[in-house]
Amino acid sequence: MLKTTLYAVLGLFAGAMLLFVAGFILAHIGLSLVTALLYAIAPKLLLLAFAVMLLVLVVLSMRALTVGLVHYFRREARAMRQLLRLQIRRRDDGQRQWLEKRQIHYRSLLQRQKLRVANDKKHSRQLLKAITSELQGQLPRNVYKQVRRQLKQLHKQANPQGMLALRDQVLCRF
Amino acid sequence: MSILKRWFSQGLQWWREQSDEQLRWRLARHQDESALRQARVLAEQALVEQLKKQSQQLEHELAISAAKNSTELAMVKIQYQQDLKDYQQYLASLDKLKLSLQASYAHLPEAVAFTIHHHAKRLLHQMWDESDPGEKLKMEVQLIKFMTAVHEDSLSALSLDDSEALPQKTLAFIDGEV
Repeated sequence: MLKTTLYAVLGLFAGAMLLFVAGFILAHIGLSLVTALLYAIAPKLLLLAFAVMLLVLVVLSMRALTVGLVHYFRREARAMRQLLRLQIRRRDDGQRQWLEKRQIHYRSLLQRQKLRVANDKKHSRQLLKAITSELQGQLPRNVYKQVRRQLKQLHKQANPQGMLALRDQVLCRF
Repeated sequence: MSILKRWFSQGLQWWREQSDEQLRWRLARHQDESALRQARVLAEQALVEQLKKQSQQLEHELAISAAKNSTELAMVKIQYQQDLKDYQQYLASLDKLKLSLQASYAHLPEAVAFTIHHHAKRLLHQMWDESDPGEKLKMEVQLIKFMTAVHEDSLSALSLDDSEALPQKTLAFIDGEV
């Protein structure tokens, strides 16, 4: 059917072209009346060919759309889609589980880190207090002030080892 | 005119012959065609059944794994919370240990107390960060030994009543470690 229609369209195109050529030849011969008739028919034939071609295209598109829709809503296609959906969900569940575990792990690590830092700060503060009170009576005032400033700086830098080293150094010197 | 008529009738005849031929061919193949159609329908039905069965199985598996996953996550959460609590308790007990040492050795400089506490914390962190269970156990034993040494020193300081004494066992432990 399609083949026949396409041949018909081609025939219409060819006919229109032949009519144009015939009209041209007849015009040269001098048969103006027939030429006018042929030139009147040929464009209409060409338009008809275009219209039929357009119609064929519309029909073909509609048919393709219908076939696609029918295939999409077929029982096996629906069952296949459901299976694929479930498979994707299983994969996603696995990934989510792994990510949630990792999140819990990192959160716990962070909390432990916070506890550790707080504890370190507490003991560093105690150490600062103890060293400053220990050095207060033993050093000249200006040296003590300088040392205290250095100790505070080391405390800010969270460096208790440095504080101890400074204490030893100062006690050895004075 | 008669030529055109003859051509037309010949064309018509040819078209009829073709139609007859097609009809005969379809009649001859009718049974095969219907058998094929039926087989196709049956195969489609079987495929649909199989896919549905697989889907049901997968849904069942998903339900089971969802329950398992949520339980596993809850367990992991509890485990980490417990770990955190243990860590907090360890830190508190190390603080207490330092306080008891300072109470037993009143003259003990803060620097020494800090060093002892710092060493204990280092052991604790080594133990906590260790991923190998065997090594973790070793570190735990070492920490316990260290804490025991500190405790014994505290007790002996109370019984000796020597104001100039130092926690010898603890310092020896740190020396041995270093």
